[in-house]
Amino acid sequence: MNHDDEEILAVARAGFLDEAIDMLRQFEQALLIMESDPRDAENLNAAFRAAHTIKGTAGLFGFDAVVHFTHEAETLLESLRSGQLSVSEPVIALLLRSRDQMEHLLEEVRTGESDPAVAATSQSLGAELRAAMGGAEAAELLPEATTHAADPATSGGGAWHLSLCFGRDALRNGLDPLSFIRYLDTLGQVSQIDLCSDAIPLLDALDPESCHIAVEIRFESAASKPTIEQVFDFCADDCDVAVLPPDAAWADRATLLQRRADTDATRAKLAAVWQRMGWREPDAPPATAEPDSPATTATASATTTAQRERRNVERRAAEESRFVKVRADKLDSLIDLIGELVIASSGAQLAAHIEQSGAMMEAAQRIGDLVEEARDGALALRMVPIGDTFARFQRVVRDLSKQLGKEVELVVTGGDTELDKSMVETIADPLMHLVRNSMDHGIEPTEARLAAGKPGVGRLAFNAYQESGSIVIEVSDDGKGLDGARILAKAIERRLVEPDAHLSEEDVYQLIFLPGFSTAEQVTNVSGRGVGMDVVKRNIESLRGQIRVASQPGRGATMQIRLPLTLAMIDGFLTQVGDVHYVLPLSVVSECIDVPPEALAEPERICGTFDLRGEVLPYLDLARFYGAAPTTGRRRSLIVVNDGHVRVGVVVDRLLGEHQTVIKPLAAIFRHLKALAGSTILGSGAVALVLDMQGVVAAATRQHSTQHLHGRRHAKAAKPPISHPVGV
Amino acid sequence: MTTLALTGELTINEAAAKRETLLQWVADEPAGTDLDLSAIEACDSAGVQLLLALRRTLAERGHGLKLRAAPDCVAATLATYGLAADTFHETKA
Repeated sequence: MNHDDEEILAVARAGFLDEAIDMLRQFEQALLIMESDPRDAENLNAAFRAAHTIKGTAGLFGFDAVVHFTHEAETLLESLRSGQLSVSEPVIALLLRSRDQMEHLLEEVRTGESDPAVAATSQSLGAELRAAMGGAEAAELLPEATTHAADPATSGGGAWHLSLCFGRDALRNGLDPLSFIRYLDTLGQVSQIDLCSDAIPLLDALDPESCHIAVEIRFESAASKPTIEQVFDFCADDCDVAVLPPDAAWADRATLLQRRADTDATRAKLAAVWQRMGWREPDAPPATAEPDSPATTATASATTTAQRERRNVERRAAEESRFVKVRADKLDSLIDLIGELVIASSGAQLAAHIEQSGAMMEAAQRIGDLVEEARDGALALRMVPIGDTFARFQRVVRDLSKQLGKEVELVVTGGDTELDKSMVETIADPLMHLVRNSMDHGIEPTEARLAAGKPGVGRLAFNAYQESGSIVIEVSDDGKGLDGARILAKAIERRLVEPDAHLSEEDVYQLIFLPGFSTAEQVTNVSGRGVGMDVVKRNIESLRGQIRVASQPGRGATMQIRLPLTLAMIDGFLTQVGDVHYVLPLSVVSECIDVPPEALAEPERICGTFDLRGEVLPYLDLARFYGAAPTTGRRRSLIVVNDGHVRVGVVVDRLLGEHQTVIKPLAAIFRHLKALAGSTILGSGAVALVLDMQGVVAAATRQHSTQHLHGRRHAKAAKPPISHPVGV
Repeated sequence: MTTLALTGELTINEAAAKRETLLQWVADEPAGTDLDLSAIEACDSAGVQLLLALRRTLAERGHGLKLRAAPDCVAATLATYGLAADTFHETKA
């Protein structure tokens, strides 16, 4: 039982954290828009709602640190909303820092650890937020005077009566009645207010965190009833609100009196309060209204609750009809299951083939096609648009521009391009490095840009698109570009390449991804101790992706990341070498030819070059590469592989054709094996190895070049290696 | 007549601790009715509740509660509820 409760709580907590992170994202986006357009009330409200939701739900779970801090930020937003404070750059900066602090606090909730430094930041930031408010409170007198002056016009609507009775948990849930009362000032003027102090218990009976606040308000406003009621939408669950319009019938008031007070004494007191607020004496004493009032009370409260429910339901329905939230692990197990289905279906096809039964083969083929569709559909469920990830960089770019004193705008295109969710998470870090790098080293300071005849504002662009079975993500800037000569000089100085190495322009750029390489003459805290770019490359390669650099001196640089569409399943091309099956991604196979004469001439070589219709390409003999003896007496084949920018040949014993491949990770013990991405199970139950194309390409070119280096030192490689001169 | 000087916040964050302090004050010094708020940094509805509970508790013992040197944050919060810091003891329930 207890255990169950804990489990439910843990699940709910995870849900809360996910939602809170979403909210923080909205909060941040709203702030960034407000920064460029300070009068954007809609986004101010969005930011307020986001902070409020975080606070409210954190309150439910008792994450006090989150509640307290978020409350401070919300209070500041509140004063922005009420116009006590105007939106300014320092305020937004402060709120953005608060957002980061909320994220830290949420992270603490997630890990269950608490860092005193984070708590200290909460304190100091909280003080800053209050200090910003202090400015508002000092200035409060002024706007107030103006509101009053403006009031006669707005108060033409007459005096409303609001009766608010807050629930016990309101404060604990992070709802402070104050915010709501103060917010009323934006709709009109609170001309009288009475806090029902009798409702507050004696000190020794008081639970100081429970809310005992009930207020009666005379409110001069021309606003409509729904507008006024909307103010309290946030606290619908924690506050019993009654809004009586200026022309409310006495019966309504009597009903309210019944609802608020249950004894004659309290009723008399409340009636006295109302009277002081200018309510006319009833023509008939409330007593006469009493007989029918219990019924009306019931209906009145029933209708308000019903209305509230309906509003909530409508709101939720609008959101929910578009999306269904599914737990990631459910999705993963569905995809695993479909993976098994793919294997089983190819087993069925194989069996049908062996049986030589036409009808069975046809049925198995049909099943196979359907399974393939189901596979694509299931994988698509995991796909998320990369735009959300890109959007996060608006903030990074903003902060970095401020920090570096450069003006940079971020342009995003192709945000709709979809990427596997797990990849989106892994790709964020490398992107961050690239952005930092571009902004720090690529884009010049404004003066330098103007001097070079470029616009003063730098431009950083994100672009994403799909191309032949992979996703391409580009980060480009219009800065000064990469300085090839300096990179080469530095690499030689650091003994990363031979002084007489001949490298193509692109290979020179690839040098920046070597461990321990940095050309920044000025090491800044934004980027530049030479750690980073090698990690970027490693991260991308861990996704079976690759990164390339293009640069035009003085015009800018583009970093291009190419990732496979998915990590879980691919359309494969099955081959055989000796007794072992190997799978290549079908998307990289461009053609299959007979083993060229160059390779036949030197059968002992692991790799070499061959001539493909006049083009010299490197090749790799898989059998030799993995130390197996090639089958003799059989015609072997060469597969020309194109991984997007390099073409190489792979020599195999047999071609077996297309195969739907579910990639299973290799056990740790096999990790050191070269050029393998994983394994898969064939329909027959045999295991096939999935080749990692990058590893294959690197092996073909590297082995090829080292052989040349050993043989003729100054030989120029036909296709120079993607330089890996340092053993990795 | 003794004065109690409160520090920190009159907010939900510290409401429980402040209640203890006030309870002790009321128990130790039934004659004490002056509350020095000059060092208070923030005040919210929980703080107002505490002050009202204290006022009621003291009133039961026949004392009025006087708030001294209420800073802007306290005054503003009280004002929102239609309460005045300087006349706090007069607005008896």
